[in-house]
Amino acid sequence: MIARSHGLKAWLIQRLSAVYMATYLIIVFVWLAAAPPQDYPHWKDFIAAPAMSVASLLFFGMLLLHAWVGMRDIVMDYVHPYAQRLAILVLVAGGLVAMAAWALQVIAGTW
Amino acid sequence: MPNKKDRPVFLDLTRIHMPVNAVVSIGHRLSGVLLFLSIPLVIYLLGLSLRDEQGYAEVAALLNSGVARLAGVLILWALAHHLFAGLRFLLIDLGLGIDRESSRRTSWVVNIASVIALLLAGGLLLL
Repeated sequence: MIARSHGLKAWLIQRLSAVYMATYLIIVFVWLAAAPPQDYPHWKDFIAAPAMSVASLLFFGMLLLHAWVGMRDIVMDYVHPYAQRLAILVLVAGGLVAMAAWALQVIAGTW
Repeated sequence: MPNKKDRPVFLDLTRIHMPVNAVVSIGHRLSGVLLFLSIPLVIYLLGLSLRDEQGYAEVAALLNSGVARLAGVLILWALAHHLFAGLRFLLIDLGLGIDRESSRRTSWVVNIASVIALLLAGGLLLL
């Protein structure tokens, strides 16, 4: 129904975003484990740093693309009636766009 | 195929023998949905912790509660399983571990590693 002809593109998006997110999460996890933020100013500075801001915004962008491809595949496998499938996909897409805006607002709020 | 709907369907999950690869596959989907549902929670906590001193303290207290620790263990399990199973899929895309024996072996590795991650997260957060 939707974008099955773009299967190769979805496949590529899923893998590139996965590699980026895994790298980001491992680096941030190790960083925070090695030097946990001591208080609020340290935490805010950590997130607000330009390199970290760019990396985090990219992370949320990748996350939402990845979640879209994954959820779309699951919905297309299990929900067959057209109207229901469309309704769920619209809900998922709307939710993801809202989450992207929210994440942007949170990160940009530290600048 | 006029009789497509008449074909027998056998989906008794308790009686179907599920190969270990299928367990990894279903676990990947389950953990993916769980992670999807946890995105708003994570953004909310991130936003609150960055708002001001008070929000930061609120998140610190919240993360210390029993319910949050339990949810944290669940989300960490989902993340670990999704990551390990995803790495396995990437290796398969590269042509590694495709034959039946080694794909079964890597499936066991994924499942066992994610159970170890679950126990580690549980031990760190709940004990």
